[in-house]
Amino acid sequence: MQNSSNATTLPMDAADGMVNEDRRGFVKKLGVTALALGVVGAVVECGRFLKPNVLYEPSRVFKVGEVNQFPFGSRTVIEGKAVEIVREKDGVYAISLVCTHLGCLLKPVLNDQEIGYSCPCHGSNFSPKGDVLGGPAPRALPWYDVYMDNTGNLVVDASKENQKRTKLVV
Amino acid sequence: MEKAVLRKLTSLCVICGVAGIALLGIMEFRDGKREWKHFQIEYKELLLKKISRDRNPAFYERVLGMKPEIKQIVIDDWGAVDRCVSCHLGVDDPLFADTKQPFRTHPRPELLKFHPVEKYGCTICHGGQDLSTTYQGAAHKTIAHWPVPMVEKGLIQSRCGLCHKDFAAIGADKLVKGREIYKEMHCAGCHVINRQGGAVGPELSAFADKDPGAFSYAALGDNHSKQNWVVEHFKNPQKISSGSPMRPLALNDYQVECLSSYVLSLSQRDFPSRYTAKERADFVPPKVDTMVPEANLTNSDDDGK
Repeated sequence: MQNSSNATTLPMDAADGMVNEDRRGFVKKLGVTALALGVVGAVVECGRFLKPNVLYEPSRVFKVGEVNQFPFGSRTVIEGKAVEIVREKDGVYAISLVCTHLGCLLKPVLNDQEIGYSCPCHGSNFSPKGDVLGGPAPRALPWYDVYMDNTGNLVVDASKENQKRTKLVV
Repeated sequence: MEKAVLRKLTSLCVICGVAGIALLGIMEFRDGKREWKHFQIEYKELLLKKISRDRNPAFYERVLGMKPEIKQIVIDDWGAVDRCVSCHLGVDDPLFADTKQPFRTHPRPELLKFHPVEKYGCTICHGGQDLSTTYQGAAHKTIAHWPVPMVEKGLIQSRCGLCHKDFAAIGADKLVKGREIYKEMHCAGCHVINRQGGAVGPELSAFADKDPGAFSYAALGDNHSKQNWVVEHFKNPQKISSGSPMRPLALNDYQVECLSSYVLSLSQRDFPSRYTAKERADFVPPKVDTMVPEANLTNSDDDGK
């Protein structure tokens, strides 16, 4: 009787043990997954927290005026934005006026075939298209994205560089 | 013993993990529900309906790629970072003239022409809390702890007067009228404006620049704001600032509005010239103080002799 009961209880115990093992394993997996997800999420959110949504600085996307304020062949410096709007027969583009050397404000050179911009600080010279002609400047001047909004105003997006140097046809 | 500790640690891990995930979920949910995000998504849909890809493909593509972001105008000289445009997205876009708020075009586009939004921002004329990105927080109505709510429609000319001292030239009828009332009521008998007037009451030359925290709002109820203080004060000076010798003025509501606008426009803040208006070369601010000789006054010195 005892034997038989033993014989009957033993498998029961074994079964119980198996059930417990499964449950324990499941709980462990759940615990590890939840913790891992929680930690990864917290790390991602901390990273996002470090990157501000917005800074106390003027928007990098700004209106520069209606198209007809920029006649063909004109070069217009936008005050306070360090950008020059150049309108040619085949289109408009915006070029940065910040020297790629140490960030001085460039002076547009008019009436010169080769030199378009020169830097008063260390004498870097740039071609009218912004390529470096001489001096310590390491890179060409970036062109910025320009588009026209629905009110007919030209808008410069200085956060996006126009790497293909495309002109906006207006 | 060890097993018990392990078991406890495991349950702690599960609880922490689940709590962390739940908190993240709540955060994502609440962050996604911000008013301005909702408005920007709605604005994008509205704008896409109003423009066509054929006419201006570059702009259309840009609008398509628009993601909700805080938009702001930084005006260093005024000390403002106006985030109103995060919701008022169509304020200078004539396409939105008939759209519901907050997208509607400014009702006076001719004013925006002289005061472009991207140069002047919004709070310079309208007041309110510049940095806020919620309806409540932007102080469209009076709110606690922000005593400079948006200027009510009736008093909006007071903001014009901060820079424009030639009231007639800009057609600010309420300011002109307010100055007349000030003169007629002989306010200058007690108050000084620009070195004219008596020294009984407080000087008003820079009333608009006065710290709103310096006023007592005890008698105003919930509506704590400097503008409201001024309006209520003109209706009943002794109720609003107890112990004041100023007598009630017997003005109707319109006159109170005019006088309040005038007084709230008295500022001595300096702005760089690129913000301020050109004044006529021969413009001289009209006198607010008049000496009225009494008709029947006899010379008492002669009588004594």
